[in-house]
Amino acid sequence: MADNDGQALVGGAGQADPIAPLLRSVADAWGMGLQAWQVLAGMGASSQSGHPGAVLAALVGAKQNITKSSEPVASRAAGPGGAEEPRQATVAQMADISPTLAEACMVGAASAMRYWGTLAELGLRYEASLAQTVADRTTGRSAASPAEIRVRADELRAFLRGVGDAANLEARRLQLNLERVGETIAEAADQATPSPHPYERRRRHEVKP
Amino acid sequence: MNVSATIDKTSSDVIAALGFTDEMRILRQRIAAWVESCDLEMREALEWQFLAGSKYFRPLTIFACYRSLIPGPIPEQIMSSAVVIEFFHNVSLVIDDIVDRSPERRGRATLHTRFGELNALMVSGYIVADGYRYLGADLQAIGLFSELLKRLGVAECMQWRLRRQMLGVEDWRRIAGEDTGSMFEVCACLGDRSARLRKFGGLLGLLYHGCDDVGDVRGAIALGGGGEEDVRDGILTLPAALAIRNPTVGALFCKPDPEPEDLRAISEAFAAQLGEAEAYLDVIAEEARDEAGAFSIDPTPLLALVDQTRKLSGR
Repeated sequence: MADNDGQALVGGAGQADPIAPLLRSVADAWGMGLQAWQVLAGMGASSQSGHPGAVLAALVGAKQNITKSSEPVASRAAGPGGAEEPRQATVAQMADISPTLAEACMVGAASAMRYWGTLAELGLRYEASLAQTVADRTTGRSAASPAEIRVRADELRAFLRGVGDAANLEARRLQLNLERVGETIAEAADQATPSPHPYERRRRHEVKP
Repeated sequence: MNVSATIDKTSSDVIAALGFTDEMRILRQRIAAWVESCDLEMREALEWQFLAGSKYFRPLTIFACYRSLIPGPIPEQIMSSAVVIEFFHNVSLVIDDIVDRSPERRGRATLHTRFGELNALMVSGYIVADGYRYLGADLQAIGLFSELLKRLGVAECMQWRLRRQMLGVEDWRRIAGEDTGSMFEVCACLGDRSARLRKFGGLLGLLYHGCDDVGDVRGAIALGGGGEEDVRDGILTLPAALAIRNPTVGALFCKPDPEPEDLRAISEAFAAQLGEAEAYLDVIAEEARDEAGAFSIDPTPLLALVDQTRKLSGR
């Protein structure tokens, strides 16, 4: 992808390629999430797979961090230094190149972290039911009474609904946040090339006045 | 006859707090004017149904969803939608009262008790038909009201089919989501017209339904009985779904013809679940607040709706 001057915006191999670390952080988030669910799926089948609670708790912590740091790029880039200085420097560098694209990357990274974090919260909330179900499957027998099985089935259904809801919520949130970034790009382009028909936000209410 | 649609005290306080006093006054005038314009054969029954006290919570939801995305006055299309949602809500009340054999609502005789079942059913059909006419060329609203009526019909059949069964909280959630949930989903869509707040509306409806379930149990305790239609009919309320996890309570709940002592035992078991039911409702309320924060521009009116709805359980 190139801008009007033929300069690379994304994926350039040069030293001023600030997008790459953010893309890597998105990939890391997905990797951590997948690892957590692989551990969860392997519960009871292998003692070498580690304790899922610890992995899930780490993801929840990561989600909380990304929630704190997902405010607009401009305000973060202009903020004071401190513990997050290297990251802010990267964001500031990106903001210099293409603020809106940097913001879109942040939106994507935050979304990935929030998604996996929510799944991790669900995993922790229903850990007991999930673990018992996997254990019963592994041993091939269950000491649970019919009433206990009904309660567990209800919890597993709630877990699955939660997983679906999380995907739905995060997809809608990502779409909305990217639309907002897109609006910013469209407005900026409109200012750069004045036209007799100024750009208007597309998400106008359809209701007649 | 000099008539006007009245509003109850709690609702008027919320309406004032949200800044919709003028809009609600216009809405009530519109409803009263519509009743006046109806066929003489139907008018007395319509006055009976519409001109008693109402919470107007559904029109309020439409206004709040609109205002959470767009500042300024409420447009004509939104106002018409608010009038018609009140029409359709009353249709659902009339049908519910017939199905539940309820003698009273809002402290007075139900429509079928006062005018007979045939009149109540015909008045319901009359309201629906004129509701669609009232919407004029607002095709988006017509589509949403069609969705609503279909889903309410499905929900009522599902709820009746699934009564007296050992089901769980997830089943309650599904029934409530199609019943009150669909009503508030459609309210949100009528207000925002972009479907952005649809999920918020669904959660608000779920919360409303659950708070109503819990409030009924609490009301029955306060009244020393009464309000027992759901218990008698084996309807899956939120306290019921929690209580029947106990197999003994479940067996009583599933009895085809429970004795009075069975009903008392079931009611006590439901009452024992109020704490857990309230905690579950707190989670739904939080989900609704999260949706409001993520998908509106000014969530203030939506958060006020959630808070007001949450109070309905009488905690």
